[in-house]
Amino acid sequence: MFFRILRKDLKRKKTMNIILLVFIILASTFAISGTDCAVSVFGGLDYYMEKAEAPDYIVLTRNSELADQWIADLSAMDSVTNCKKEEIFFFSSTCLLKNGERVSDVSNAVMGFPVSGTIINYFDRSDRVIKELAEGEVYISGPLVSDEDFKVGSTFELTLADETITLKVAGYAKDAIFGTSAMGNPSLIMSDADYQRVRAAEGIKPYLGTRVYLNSTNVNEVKDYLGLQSGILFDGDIEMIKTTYIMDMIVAGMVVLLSIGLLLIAFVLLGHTIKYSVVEEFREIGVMKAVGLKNRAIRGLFLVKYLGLAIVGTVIGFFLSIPFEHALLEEASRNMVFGSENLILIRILMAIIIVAVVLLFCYHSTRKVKKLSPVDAMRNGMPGERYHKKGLLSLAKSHLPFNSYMAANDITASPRQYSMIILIFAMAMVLIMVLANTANTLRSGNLAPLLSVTESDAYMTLTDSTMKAMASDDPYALMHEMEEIERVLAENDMPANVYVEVFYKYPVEFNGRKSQVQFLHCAETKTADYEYTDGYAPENKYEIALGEVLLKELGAEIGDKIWITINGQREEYRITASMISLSQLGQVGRLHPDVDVHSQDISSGYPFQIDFDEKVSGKELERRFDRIRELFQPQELLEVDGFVESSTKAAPMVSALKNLLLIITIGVIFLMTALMERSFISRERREIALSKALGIRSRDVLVHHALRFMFMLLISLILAMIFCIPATHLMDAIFAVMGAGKGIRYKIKPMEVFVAYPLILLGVTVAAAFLTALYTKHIHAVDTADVE
Amino acid sequence: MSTVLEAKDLCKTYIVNKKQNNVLKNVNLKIEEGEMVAIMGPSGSGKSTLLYSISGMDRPTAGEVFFEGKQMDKLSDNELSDLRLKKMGFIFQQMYMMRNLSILDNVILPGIKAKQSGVSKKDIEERGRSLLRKFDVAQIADNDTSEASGGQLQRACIARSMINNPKIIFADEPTGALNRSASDEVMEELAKLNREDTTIMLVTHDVKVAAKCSRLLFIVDGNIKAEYNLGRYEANSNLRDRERSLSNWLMEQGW
Repeated sequence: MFFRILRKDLKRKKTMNIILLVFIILASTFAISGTDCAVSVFGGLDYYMEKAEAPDYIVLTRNSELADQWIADLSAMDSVTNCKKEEIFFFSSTCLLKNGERVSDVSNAVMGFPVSGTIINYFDRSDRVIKELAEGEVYISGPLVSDEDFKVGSTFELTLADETITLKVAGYAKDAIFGTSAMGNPSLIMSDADYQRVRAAEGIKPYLGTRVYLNSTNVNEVKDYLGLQSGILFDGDIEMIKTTYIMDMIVAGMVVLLSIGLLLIAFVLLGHTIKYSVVEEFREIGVMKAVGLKNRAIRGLFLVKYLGLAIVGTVIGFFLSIPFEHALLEEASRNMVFGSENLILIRILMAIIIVAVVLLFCYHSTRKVKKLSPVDAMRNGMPGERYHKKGLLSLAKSHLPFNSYMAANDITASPRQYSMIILIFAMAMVLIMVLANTANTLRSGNLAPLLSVTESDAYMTLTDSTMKAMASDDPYALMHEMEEIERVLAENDMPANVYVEVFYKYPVEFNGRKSQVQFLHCAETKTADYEYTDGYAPENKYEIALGEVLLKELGAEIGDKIWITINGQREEYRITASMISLSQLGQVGRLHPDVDVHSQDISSGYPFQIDFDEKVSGKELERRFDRIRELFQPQELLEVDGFVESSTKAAPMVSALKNLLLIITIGVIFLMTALMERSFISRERREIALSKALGIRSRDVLVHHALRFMFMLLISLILAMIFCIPATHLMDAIFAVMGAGKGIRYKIKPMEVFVAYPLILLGVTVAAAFLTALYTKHIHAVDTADVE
Repeated sequence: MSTVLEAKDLCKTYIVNKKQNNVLKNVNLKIEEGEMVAIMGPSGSGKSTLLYSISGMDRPTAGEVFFEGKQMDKLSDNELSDLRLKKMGFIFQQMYMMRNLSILDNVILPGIKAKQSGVSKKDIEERGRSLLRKFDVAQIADNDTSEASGGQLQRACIARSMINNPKIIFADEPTGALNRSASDEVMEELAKLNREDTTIMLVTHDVKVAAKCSRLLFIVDGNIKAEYNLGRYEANSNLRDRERSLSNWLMEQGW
């Protein structure tokens, strides 16, 4: 009997049961993939480094004899285990040609090495370890990946010494050590045959380099040893390498945010659907009660039905979550391999939780069964003693057009039911707004403080001027260059203040530890113009701020004094603040403007910053940029947004991810709207048939249904606008990781966030509701006769 | 008296499980203005199908239906909707109403939708209230539809069917879901409307209901087998005599 009723129910309420099943599939897909994403991302870096078999410390040099000496010395240390070296090609991107022409403007050195015998693992885009390659093929990584000339399948020539070989890009590789945008070193993973062919070329020696990898239980001991050595091009421990993944982790954080958002939406939606599908059953509950079925048996019937649906839905969702998760993490995993050892267990656990949640919702929704008499149940759960008007609106008094009234009245008459849908829409919209604000902020000038620069009207790269200053004996050569730029600008009716942030490299000592540190110095700004994570801005020439990474490395704290040798003078400086900078892997400090620096100590510099005396924007700024290009022929001339984009190199990844997340969210909303509307049609079949019987046209029914979703979305939009800014600040945690915890200014583009996206969502929702509501055309006036 | 509704060779066929089921077979009938016609017959004989086919709720498979001389089966869906809205009233066995509207709003809904220029919403509301008063259910005007008895609801449904002053009211077993006293009350209201010259066509199984009609069509197996003229049921008519004679006639027909 029990199963006969169940079978009949599944058959008779096919549409609602299918919709419920689809919602369970959606919820489990989001929940399982969302949890996976979160677990993968939170443990992401450690997992990736482990998979890549990354060492504790890396050293790069051109001198293989020196490397051998270091390996001998380091291997003698008790703390060092597994010290190995590998030979590589180490060359400028000018060696990469296409039909004899230079194709890449990557400034960092390129590294080439054979596929077999690599000490660490390199992965392809499918996260498989690259183990072999056909002759003539190459895997590329780093900045070359985003270069149009190096698309998969394209060919280029590599010319080293007197040997030229043509290589075909077989795919993109993930390089755990040098592959991030912050490191910026492209790698060429070549076939052994190609590598040996070039290696045999006469005069290859200047193009050779050596990488030393070692594991150590005491990295400081290694650092102290290497600090005394010369000929090191790069050295760093794994913790420092991990800091280069900040942008990747932030992008992954956005994926986690989307996953959590979708998870919340899925659960709210599921709860809502189950609750209202159970309410629809009250009539049957009444009949069952009337014929003498016990409460336990009635609830058991529902629980068995929902258990069946939950198991089927979760199994399907379990398998769908795999490609969905890949799609989510695709952009975030361009440079990384995400995963976790226990993913399968987590997946199974999440699937069980979904089944339990469905049953819990069902149990909760059917709790009324106990209290209701058969008659109450047949009255759809209403006790029937509530004598008051339903809804806030009155058809006669309303000034709304007929269909608008019907839509608005539905919402006000069942506020609880519709408020849940409004909440779901608002959550989705806030999610889109937060993602857009975060993505826009990551690409905006608002991140300038994290690059340790102030905001200016223009950023002009003049490599020649900087090089000239570096080569000059005049300690104030750079200042003269700036004065010259100011003069030319003034002569051309563009009076401006010109200055530049420059890195000076000075030896630093603290507690017996020595290190070479890059210090930022700008003569024209105040130290208070920059952001610090703790302490106060240096107030005199003997006060400095140091990067948090550096403080940790030196074992120093705010208030400590360190020795710095500037212009041959070894003097004591007090640390007054800590800072985080995306430049130089965070290993930077800031000097007070009064410190007497010498142009010869410049190690590198930012572009010249131009602050026009007058406030200029729009057409006038464009005109001035054109004129400056004519006057100085700079390598780059950018506004602050462009400067940040160019410096963080995160723009393509962030844009692609933002678009992907938008598409996913919009797709989910389309699907949800369609399913909800279909469930409304199923529940309101009687009313639709009645409307038509009374002479209301099909078109009016359609408009009424589409308008209902439009109104809900408009209310959601108002809620989303109210919560947009506070919700965006949830991302503070992510920006805090970058060092901008103290009041990041989010880049909010009102036209995009408050106009474009809401319009897109409105369009998508109304379209989904309208297209689904077309089904009402299949409900005819005559169906009034047999809806029961 | 003029003909309000006319059906010629009306056929309705359903295909169920690839089997053809001819529910109506060449039905011919005429309904004159001011008549109150009952359709009776055994279950499955095609009573409701006939009602829905001639009221424009459903389209016949073959044959012609004329409403006030206009061929209905040639009208578009929208034209049929307009006709149902403005010229016809409907009452269903299950007292269907829109759940999200109050009883008054349900009553005036067709009126608001069909609103003629020069008629204000206030006028329509007033008409709705006066109809509810007329059918003695004014006290539930602002209630939720789940907060009224079956008899009250059915009377509100009659009020709704009257809101646009229809030419004809179609009622499908209007007392089918009511107890005897509620059923009598509802039928008294319909008879009263008929005496005010509203044409009514209804389907019923109940002799007591049919006895209040002026004419009865007896349908068997998709055909009108016979018809019986009772004359208009006036306030002073002897209902028992009408019921008795009708019962006798029905027995002759094999009821």
